Amino acid sequence: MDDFLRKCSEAIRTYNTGLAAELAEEALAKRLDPLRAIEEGFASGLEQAGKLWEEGTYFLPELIMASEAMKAAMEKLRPALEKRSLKMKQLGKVVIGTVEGDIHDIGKSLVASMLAAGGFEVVDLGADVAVDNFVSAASREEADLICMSALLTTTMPAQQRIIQAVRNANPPKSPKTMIGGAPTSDSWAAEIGADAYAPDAVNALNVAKRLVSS
Amino acid sequence: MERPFWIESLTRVRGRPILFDGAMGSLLIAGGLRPGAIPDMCCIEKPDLVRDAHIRYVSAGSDVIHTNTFGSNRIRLSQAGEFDDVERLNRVAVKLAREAVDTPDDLETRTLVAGDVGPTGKLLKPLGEVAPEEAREAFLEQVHALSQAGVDFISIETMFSLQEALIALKAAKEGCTLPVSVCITYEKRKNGFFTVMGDTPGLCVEALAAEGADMVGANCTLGSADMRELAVELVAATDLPVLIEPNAGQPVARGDRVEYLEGPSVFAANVAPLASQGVTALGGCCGTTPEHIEELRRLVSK
Repeated sequence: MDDFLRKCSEAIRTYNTGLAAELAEEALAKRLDPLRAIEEGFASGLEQAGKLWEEGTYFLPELIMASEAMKAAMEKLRPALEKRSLKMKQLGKVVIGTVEGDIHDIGKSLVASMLAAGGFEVVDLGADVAVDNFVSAASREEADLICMSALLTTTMPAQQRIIQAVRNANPPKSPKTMIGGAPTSDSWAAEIGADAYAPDAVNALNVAKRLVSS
Repeated sequence: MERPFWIESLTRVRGRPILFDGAMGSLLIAGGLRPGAIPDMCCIEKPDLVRDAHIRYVSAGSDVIHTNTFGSNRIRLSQAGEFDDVERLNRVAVKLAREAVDTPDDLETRTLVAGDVGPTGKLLKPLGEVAPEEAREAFLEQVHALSQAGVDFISIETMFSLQEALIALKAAKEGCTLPVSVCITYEKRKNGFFTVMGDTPGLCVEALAAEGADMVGANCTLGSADMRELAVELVAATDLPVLIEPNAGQPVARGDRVEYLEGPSVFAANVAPLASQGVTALGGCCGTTPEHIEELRRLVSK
């Protein structure tokens, strides 16, 4: 990786939003391939932030700030991508939300950011989302993946209702399903027929990639 | 001067660890709480259900019960789309708790009512959208309502951010003269216990003590075995009384119901020994029931 791309990566890893935006502008001024700047520069920084989180060096604030820095860089680069009709390697379309009766949205929003930064197109339905809204969004958006967050033992069963309702509705791409949230687990995913469980936002990206490629 | 009706005097008189209550939301749902409603609204919509849940914990042997006001702050209520009169919601909740307990001016028999204060559920600026001042005002309003309605102390719980816990604690100290307990929620990571924001137990108890917390502790997320390990750290880090409220292990699916792995006997066998390790007060969080508290009471009374 050349020095400039390394700087781009560093700006995200050190969650320096201002610098990330400046470097994105510099990449454009240098007529660098924006896709290369993203994939070999900025996105690799986010990946490193994820690794630092897994190692226990980073926590929620650093992850959120790194994903904010990534967003800032992407905002600068997106017009150039569109102008040159370049498309980021689109991994798939994700519909994500926190289930009905549950207003916790911190974890869900971080997963949405990580998936977006990692190359998914993300439609975030917000928190306290009714079963029917997941179903209609899955059809309307032709989703490849549905992600459901539940932070309460009392709202976990809604994940099961959503999975069943989506299967019954048979939307265009028969989306895969991923669940998360503090009380959920692999065994809960198996019990309710979800395709996967992700324990955290960093793993969510890897699990999502695996799901859409399988 | 020793404060009346506070944990230290209760411990002295009763000669055993002080027992708090267990989970509330699951009892309310089993009793017919409207699906999707936050449990706090039960105080208005089905008050008998709330009072009965309190009575079950008192009968099980709880020395302290929490008001059903975990989410009864302005910020959380408005997220749930259920904004009601904050003052009224807290007042009704205190009344229901009071109706479930005897309140003689007697340290031997009185059950204390703790005014439960949970987090706003939002991240504070700059990470999130809630200004610290806005959070402070929300906590101040709730604490004021709880203390005016007659709780014995304020119990701040399930705080995953030390910053927010400190805002709540300062608001509680500003809003009333009652003792204040603060429980933080920790996760077990590869290299020890941390809040999701990265605060260590040592840092938390030091900061909370400096702001005048009267009791510190931990609740939620961890099951009783992990919580034992954390409790030892907390006790070593502070001279304040320590409160520990573990979950009943991890939740598992049983058909269309969710159950927790640690039944009353496993839970109580793990939690009761903490008393001899310097923990002052014990209770339960998610998945615990009156049966868990009853078994715990049996073990600590031996």
